[in-house]
Amino acid sequence: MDSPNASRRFLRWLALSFALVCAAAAGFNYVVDPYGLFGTPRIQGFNAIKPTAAERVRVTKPYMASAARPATVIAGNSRPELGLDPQSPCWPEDHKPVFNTGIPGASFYMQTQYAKHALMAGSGKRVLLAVDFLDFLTNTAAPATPPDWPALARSYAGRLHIPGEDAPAWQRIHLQAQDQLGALFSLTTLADALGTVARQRAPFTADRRADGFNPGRDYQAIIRSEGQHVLFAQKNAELRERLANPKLGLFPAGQHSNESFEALKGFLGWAKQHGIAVTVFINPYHADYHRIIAESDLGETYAQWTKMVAGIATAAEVPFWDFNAQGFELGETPPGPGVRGEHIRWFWEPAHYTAELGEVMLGKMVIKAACTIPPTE
Amino acid sequence: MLASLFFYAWWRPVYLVLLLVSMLANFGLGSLLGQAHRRGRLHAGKAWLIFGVFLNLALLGYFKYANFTVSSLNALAGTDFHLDTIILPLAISFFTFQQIAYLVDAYQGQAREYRFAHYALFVTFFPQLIAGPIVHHRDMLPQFMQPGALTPRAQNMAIGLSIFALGLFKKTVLADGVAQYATPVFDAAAAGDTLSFFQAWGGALAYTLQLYFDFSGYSDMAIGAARMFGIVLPVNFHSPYKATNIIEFWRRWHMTLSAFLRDYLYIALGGNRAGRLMRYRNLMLTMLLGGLWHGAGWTFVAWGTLHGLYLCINHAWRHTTTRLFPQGLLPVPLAKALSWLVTFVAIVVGWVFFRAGSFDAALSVLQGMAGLNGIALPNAIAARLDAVWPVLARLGFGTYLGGGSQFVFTWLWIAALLPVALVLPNTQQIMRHAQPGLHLHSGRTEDELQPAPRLADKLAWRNTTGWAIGIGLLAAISVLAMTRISEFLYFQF
Repeated sequence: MDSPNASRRFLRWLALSFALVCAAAAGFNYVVDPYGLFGTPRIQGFNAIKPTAAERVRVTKPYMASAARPATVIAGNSRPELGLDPQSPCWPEDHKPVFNTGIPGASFYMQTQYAKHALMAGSGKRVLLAVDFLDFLTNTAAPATPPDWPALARSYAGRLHIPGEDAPAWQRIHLQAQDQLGALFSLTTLADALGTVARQRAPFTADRRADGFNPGRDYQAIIRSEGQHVLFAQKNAELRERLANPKLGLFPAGQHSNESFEALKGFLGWAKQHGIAVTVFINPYHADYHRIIAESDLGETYAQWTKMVAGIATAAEVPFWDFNAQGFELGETPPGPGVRGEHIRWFWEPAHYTAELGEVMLGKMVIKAACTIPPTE
Repeated sequence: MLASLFFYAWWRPVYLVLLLVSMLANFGLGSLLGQAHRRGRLHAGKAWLIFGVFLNLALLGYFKYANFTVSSLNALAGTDFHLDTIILPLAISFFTFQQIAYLVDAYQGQAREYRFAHYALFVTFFPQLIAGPIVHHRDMLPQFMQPGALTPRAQNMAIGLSIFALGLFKKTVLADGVAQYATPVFDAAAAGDTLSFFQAWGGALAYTLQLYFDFSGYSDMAIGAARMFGIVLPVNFHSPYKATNIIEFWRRWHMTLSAFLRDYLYIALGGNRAGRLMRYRNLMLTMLLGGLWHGAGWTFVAWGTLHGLYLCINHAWRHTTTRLFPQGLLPVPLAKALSWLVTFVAIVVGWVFFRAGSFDAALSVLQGMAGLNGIALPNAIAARLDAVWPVLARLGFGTYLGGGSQFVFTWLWIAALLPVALVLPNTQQIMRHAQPGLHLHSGRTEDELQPAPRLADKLAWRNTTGWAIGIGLLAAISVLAMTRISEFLYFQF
């Protein structure tokens, strides 16, 4: 058996190497900041592009918004996140800086809460609020219960600072410490940080910019390698499956509203109270999307939904745009199988529009002489 | 002992009472059995033993199998009996078995007189309480009763921490890392999705590796934690996937359970004393009950039955071939490779039942593995195969949308972990100069793959600075693997 002294020396070296490895990993994670959580400077060729940030935006966007202190906020789900560019030339100077709080897959209430946080972070005065049909669909067979807003926000409220709606201090400290320490002392972050550095020069690396925008590079990569028809085929299949549930509708049994409508009303009321100018708009969908809605016997529901959203916006005296009813060409045919590297102008796939269409939309929603609609190819 | 009881009570304090009552009852019965043996009152002893075993099994049966029994009865007889869900007390399967073994040994006069405090520590010793290794009073109590037992010493801390770090690395980095590629496949099967060949095999192999690194990692952690207090626990795994036959696999997988089932069930049933047919019957019964011990569900029964069948076939094959072909049929390396392949595939098939939530899900995965749902690659991979793809398409390969990165990472993890399980030495072999455990495995070379014996010879832990730095690195990576910023996977493509 080895001597006690040798064992003590062994234990000292073990503790030292353990501490040094943890410290080195945390330091590297902080410097590379693969999710954009810490706001570490983005250095071209080192960490400017954030390929692994996409799956963490629910955590990171509140911190990014706090750092950006936006005057204007783009709010909604993944559609405006991909479609409306905060760096667009359409933004007048007094609207800047602009931050995109679009959160993929989030409930509409969560989208509005993240928008409130971003607006409060920069004393923002304007918000473009995207509404999406699928976010308003609910299970008509479910029992009707009034929304329990604090319960709905429990998993993320600690990240947000919304005066009057703040989570208890311990909850904020706990969640924010968990977010930041979890990102620093983490093997997953270390792997993502190494991947971030390694993929800076690779073509079409996915990214989330510091202003919250998703430039859609991952779509470009798929279009190059597999062709755009794959994106359309997959999204159409996914949409068909999602809308196949016969119980989908706008209201729970016996009700005339639902959680998302109430969240919309609540947000508009809150914005009015804070002197924030809101523009509500319905995201444009490709013709395939409209066709699948109709095939799923939800055509009337869709029409009712647009009417209700328009009604709520009108009642709140805020501008409203339905970009499915602006005469845009929504029925472009995507390239067929076997065609790679080419894509239609205004859609990545049936549900997500390109920033080019976003420019047209901004041209309508934000009046500025310098904003020109891109020419048709 | 108090620390162990506190550790147990932390989860659900009310079940601490159950554990204490169980220990008191078994300790009392053990004393009665010891007295009966000393006084030659065999009939009384037997009655007390039957009563004690019944009491333990009734407790286990109520908490672990009552819901299963009622639901099975309802399904079979079309009845509608209702029983509220009974929450399983932590570690009940383990402490029940340990105490039954104690009663049997007391009845046979093999258990010494112990103090209750020592007995309670043997049952509740926190490193192994929750998930084993299953310990025997013969191994544990003499260690607890040694003067200065449980006093921390630098040597034991160094050895214990090293074993613990190896186990933690297996658990948090390897098992948890590969688990994310097994779970979606079994979930998809449970949801009724059709799995193609590579998807099904990817999921089954990922789970095969997850389970090994998870359970053996946990066992290492238990052994390491106990060693920090100077207690040497029995080893529980010895590179089971290197086994070239199923008999050997069971000598290397969950070794303390295998030993318990052998000593207290298989031998009690008659073992191989009444001829080959009775041996096969006893093997089937032992494995069937062993399967049921792992979980209250028919898929566990199927898994146990399958392994009983494997063992019977293995024994029958060995019996036949040693008589018909005493010199062997094939060259030794080829025979060994084939034996390993058959054994490994059989084990993987067994794990499908073990992991799947239902028979339907298990059969769905097996259908995929058998190629009955076709062979397909993600479209993103096929698109990058250029000239190779037309050849594969002619061979019948298809494509499916999405899942490209999932596919790549699944097979990368499998390609990385299989060599770790099949080539690298195991924890006991690495720690062989430090008495890493009790009942170390020693087997015949023909019963295991030995792809890199020199590597196994070279990789031996020493109390040196280099090893300290290496273990510190492993421990740090393992701890870093336990935290991550929460993510939300939104598959927009």
